[in-house]
Amino acid sequence: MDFKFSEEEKIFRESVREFCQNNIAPMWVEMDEKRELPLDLYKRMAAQGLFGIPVKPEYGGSGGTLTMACIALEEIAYAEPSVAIPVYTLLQNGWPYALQLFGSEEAKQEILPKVCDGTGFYSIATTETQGGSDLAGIKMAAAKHGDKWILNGEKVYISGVEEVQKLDWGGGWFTLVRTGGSGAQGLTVISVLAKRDGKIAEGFEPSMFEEIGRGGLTTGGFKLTDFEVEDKYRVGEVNKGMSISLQCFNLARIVVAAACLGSARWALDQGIDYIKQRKLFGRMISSFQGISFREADLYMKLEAAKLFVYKAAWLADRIYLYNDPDFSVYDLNVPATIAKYWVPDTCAEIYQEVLKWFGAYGYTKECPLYRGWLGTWSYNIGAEGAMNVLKYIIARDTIGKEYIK
Amino acid sequence: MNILVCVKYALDVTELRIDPSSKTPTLQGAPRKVSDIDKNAVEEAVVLKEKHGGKVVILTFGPKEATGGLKEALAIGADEAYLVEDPSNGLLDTRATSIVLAAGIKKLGNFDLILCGEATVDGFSSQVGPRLAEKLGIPLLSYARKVVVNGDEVTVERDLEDRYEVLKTKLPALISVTREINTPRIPPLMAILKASKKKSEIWKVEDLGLSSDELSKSSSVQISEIQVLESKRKGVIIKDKPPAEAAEELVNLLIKDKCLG
Repeated sequence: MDFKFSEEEKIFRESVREFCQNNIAPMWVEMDEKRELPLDLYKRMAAQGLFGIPVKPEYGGSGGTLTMACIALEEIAYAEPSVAIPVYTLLQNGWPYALQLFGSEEAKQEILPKVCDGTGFYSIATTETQGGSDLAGIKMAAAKHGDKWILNGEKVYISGVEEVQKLDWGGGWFTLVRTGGSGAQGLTVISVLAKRDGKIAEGFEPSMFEEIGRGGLTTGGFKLTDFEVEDKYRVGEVNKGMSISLQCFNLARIVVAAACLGSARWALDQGIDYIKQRKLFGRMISSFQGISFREADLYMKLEAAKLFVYKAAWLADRIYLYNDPDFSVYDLNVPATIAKYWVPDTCAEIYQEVLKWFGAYGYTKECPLYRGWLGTWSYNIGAEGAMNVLKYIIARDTIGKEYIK
Repeated sequence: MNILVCVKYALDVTELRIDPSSKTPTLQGAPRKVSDIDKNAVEEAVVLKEKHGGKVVILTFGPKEATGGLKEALAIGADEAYLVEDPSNGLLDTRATSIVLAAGIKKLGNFDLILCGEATVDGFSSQVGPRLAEKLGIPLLSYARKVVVNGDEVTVERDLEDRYEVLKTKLPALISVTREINTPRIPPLMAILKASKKKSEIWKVEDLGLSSDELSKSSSVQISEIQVLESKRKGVIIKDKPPAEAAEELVNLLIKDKCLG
């Protein structure tokens, strides 16, 4: 057992911290307020190797680990706690990694270098109007015609819809579609590229939602009408989309948790700085146990959050990078799910408590805390697993599927 | 052009924890990093290499953990790195340090330029560079804020705060650089990962033909104590006065304390 980060990991964390201090910390509040997309910043982030961290160098990536992706996300979210930039970054790491694991060689060679050099985007599209948790109910239909798939249907609450259209190369989503009969066994993953080589694809009709937080990132949806996709963009086998998606959701849950960890650590640091300065009744408010004991509670939870994130990332690397025979892909279900439950939950608790410490000032727009609270709240609602779905997964794997029906 | 850069894996003084009872910094387990100004020296060496070709070699004298600092320098773009392990746990002075570094440089071969930071962020003695130039018998160009190499000559702008001098000499030479000379690049992940594959060795002082005992004897300065300087605020608050009167009083207080003339 070794709780120490390696020398490379420490140097990488410092390098990301320095990059964020110079490039992100000074601009995030204005970006969030004006709801601006930081597309220029993404070029610099790509040059710094922050997209495609675990993607192999032959596909334009850095050849790092999922643990390193988590280190980067924690630091980026510490500098940008509204998590618009961290969410964009986690998508640009988790889903390209999924494509690397399950995609065709041709698709990997085309898409991954574009994601890594910042001109392309590759993320996830599963949710439909009937809900994101009921994957087996997915309706978007794909029919095979020769070497092509014809897609029809609609996806909603999808990240990066505007970004894809604005990036030089383009990109799209790891999209779960129905290729067989009803239920979970009839689903296949297909990469839907809304834009390629600078051209928007025919049959792609985007729509937008306005969210309450993380103003630097867009969320929308898209409707596909007779949208043609070559078979080389299929990810994994036909009708095996559910099991592939579940594995990839495990990876995505870990990077989501890492981003929430960074934002939560920032919020608690803000709180600790504040209670040491703010005086009431002639005393620093940190000297009231009503405050300091809550700080202790939150610190314990944050420490657990760190352990959950990095243990899950470490395990994912053992399984997917090092092919460690001691572990199977199923071993990641519970650790990744705990991380995705615990960290956003703790993050929300920290924001709500620290906002109380700040009093009326915390409720003003001058105080940036609420931006982090609103941004990270999205992960308490859903995205990579609604809270009750996460509890179901943990209960199913620890009690046994047959005992919880 | 072959360049050697001396770096120190210094205490990160911004992260030091102070023991409240003794008012001394806790050095055990204290975070360390490549001294900021030494990083400027590494960056300058890499820039010169990119322009003129050749290689950049890093040399450090310090604890075994300094390999982390070597990797950082390699990630910035240096080609090889050598650590001479300090047998004294940081007790040797700048004189002994320059003896070790000079012996290391002689073992590594001939260099056109030796670069150092003007000082390290922890000790800040500014002595190692000049001592090293003396030991190697080469010219010293200190406090360089600009370095230009032209053939077998080097020209530097020597920053003396209120003015600067332009100095020129034939290579080889030793240059100590200031913080202002450049902004060190932030290495991307791929460069950090490549750094681990570059040549990096750990030597003992005996590998350089030196002995720990002799080094201790040649170390003439001993640090007997490190104390934290306390700067207490006066906490004067000018209350309940109109702004003009309050300003008047503030100016008078500042004059009294010799803050204003």
